[in-house]
Amino acid sequence: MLWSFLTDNFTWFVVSLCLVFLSASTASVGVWAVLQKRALISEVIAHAVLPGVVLAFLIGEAKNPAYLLLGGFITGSFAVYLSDLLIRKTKLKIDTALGSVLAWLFGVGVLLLSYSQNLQHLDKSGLERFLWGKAASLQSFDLYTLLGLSILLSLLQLVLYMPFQILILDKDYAKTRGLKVKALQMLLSAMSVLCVVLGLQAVGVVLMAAFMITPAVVAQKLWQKLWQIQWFSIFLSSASALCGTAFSAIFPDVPTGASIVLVMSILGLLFFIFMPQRGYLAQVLKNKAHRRKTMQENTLKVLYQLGEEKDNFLLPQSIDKIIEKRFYPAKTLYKTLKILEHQHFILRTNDNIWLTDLGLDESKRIVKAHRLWEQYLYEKLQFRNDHVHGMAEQVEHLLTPKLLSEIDKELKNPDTDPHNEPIPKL
Amino acid sequence: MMTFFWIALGAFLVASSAGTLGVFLLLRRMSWFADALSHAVLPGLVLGFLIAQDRQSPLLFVGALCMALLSSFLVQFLHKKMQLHIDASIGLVYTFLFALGILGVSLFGQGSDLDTDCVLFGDILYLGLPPYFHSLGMNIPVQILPVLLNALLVVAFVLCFYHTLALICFHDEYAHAKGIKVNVWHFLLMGMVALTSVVAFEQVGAVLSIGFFILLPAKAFLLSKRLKTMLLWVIVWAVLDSLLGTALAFYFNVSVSAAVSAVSGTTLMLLFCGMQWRKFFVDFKNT
Repeated sequence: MLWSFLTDNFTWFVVSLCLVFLSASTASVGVWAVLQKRALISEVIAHAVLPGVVLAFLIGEAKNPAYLLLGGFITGSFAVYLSDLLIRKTKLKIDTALGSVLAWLFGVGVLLLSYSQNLQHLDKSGLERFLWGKAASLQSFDLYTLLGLSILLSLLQLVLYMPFQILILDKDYAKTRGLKVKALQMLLSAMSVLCVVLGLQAVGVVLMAAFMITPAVVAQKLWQKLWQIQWFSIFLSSASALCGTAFSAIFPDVPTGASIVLVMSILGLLFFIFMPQRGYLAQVLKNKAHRRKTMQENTLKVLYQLGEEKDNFLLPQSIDKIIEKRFYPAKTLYKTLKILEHQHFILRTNDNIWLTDLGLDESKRIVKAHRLWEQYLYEKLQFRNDHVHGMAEQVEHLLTPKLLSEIDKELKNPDTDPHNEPIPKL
Repeated sequence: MMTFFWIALGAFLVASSAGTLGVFLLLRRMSWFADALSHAVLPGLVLGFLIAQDRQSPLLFVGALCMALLSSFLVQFLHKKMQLHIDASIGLVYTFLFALGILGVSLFGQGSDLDTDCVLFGDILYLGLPPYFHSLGMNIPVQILPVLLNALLVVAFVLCFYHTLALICFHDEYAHAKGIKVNVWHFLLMGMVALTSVVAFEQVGAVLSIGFFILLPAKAFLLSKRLKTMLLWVIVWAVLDSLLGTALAFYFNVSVSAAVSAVSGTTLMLLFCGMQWRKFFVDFKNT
């Protein structure tokens, strides 16, 4: 059953496998470039292979794609070399230097391309393929090439994982460790160029940059560990390669490269926003929850302090007094009070508020956290007593009860904070 | 001969308006914004074409302009709000929009001349073709009017707001302290760049317009230390490159925009070599 499905759709099967290999290895190489903040260099390479390919086509007048790819490899590497040279030797800033190299080489490429269109005797179909990519033209032979490429690149990365890691973290440290920084840098660039060149036939010139940048950028935003970033970007790019090929199989007019890039960007965006715990939305919600908690705790703290002044914590307090003490906008204060009332921390009539027993315990805990932390900074870390309040304001919302009792023990249950205010006992 | 004149003039107008704006982009270290904008024009054109169903409709222009502004907004959003590195956010946005444009062109562009060739080469050759209108004792091709208008607008913009632009280029925070709304000026500049890249797209194609935004200012930047002389150098190089490029294109019968870009880049590299050469000799003399 499965076998007959595969043989019936053999072309499609080969094409999608090719693209999966291609995009997975490109994505894993791209991670290094993006983490080095050299994303633009892959854009330069993706444009700069054009003149090489066309030149090889014009000189060789040959159909053999190997020469075209070799030409692309040469100009791609030349572009990397030239950009580094311009950055080192002139006062041009990095972005201008890279942009100049890109614009120049791409201009030359298009110039040669339009020249080749005038030559009647040449069969231009070979060239057209490299411009916008023609995944349907991939064959079993290309599959082996791309498989070989993926194996080669993954072996290289496995063997040199440690040196690469040191290189992208800290170049100077890598130098002092005796690593050959220049050689490693060149190897990374060569790997990028290789990926772009081998992707030409399937994806075309300009869009190869996306294969290198998009998965890596999304991955490094969502994950912290290097191996996680690597695996996630490989996963993202392979998944989009599969979906994109399927899409272009349904709509044969659409170039495969463009549809893969679209899927990749949209999928990346979705992950970026909606991924649980790590995505943008989750972060925003988390921040909002923290802000709300801070508001509630601060309000309880104010109520405690107001009670402290009168030496009676169960007296009713007016809302105006709270605003006077903490400058809340009235609207947020009412919202907070509503939540606190719901949690049975306070009771309220129109203008007055009481702490309940539960609320008193909670407010004591917060005030204790605040003053204990002030004392800790003052006593153990030798901060001056007029420097500790701000930090305690932050930390009081983060201290867990367990941590609190540990600090209490460490400080031998102090009675007062550095401002001589009493630390409440729970 | 007249054809050559009009095309060279068109190339010069596009090059000088893009180059002038490019100087400010370069100094604000935003050259790559031009890249993102010029790629974003494509899906905008397709969108306009889908709505209007007519290649000549002004809706195409409006769509492209909106898309270009949207892309600049997107890049800024990813960079500022999502804290992506600026390279990364430009890379994400422009490849996405360009892929969208290619998709649109290949799905809906059939039967019109909105195809992948105009993405690469542009239509500058139309500048030499009728319809003409008669004025100043010459037959002036209608196609040159938008280019001319855009160039005049850029010149007016730069001349009127020269001091403000200079200030936000050299010292953002000082400008802010003086009460200049830096964000507003940023988007005004972006708007001019978007307008110019839409006009440039029509003439020179999507990808090559970045050359005009970057190469001319880069040469001017190498040659001078003052903003005014930089702007002058841009005009000088725009004249040289567009004349030489157009001549080359006519001689070999190749794409004008590509030839101008290639000439512009080659002169930059020659300039670089020359400067290295001089430095080498000065060092040699001193030792």
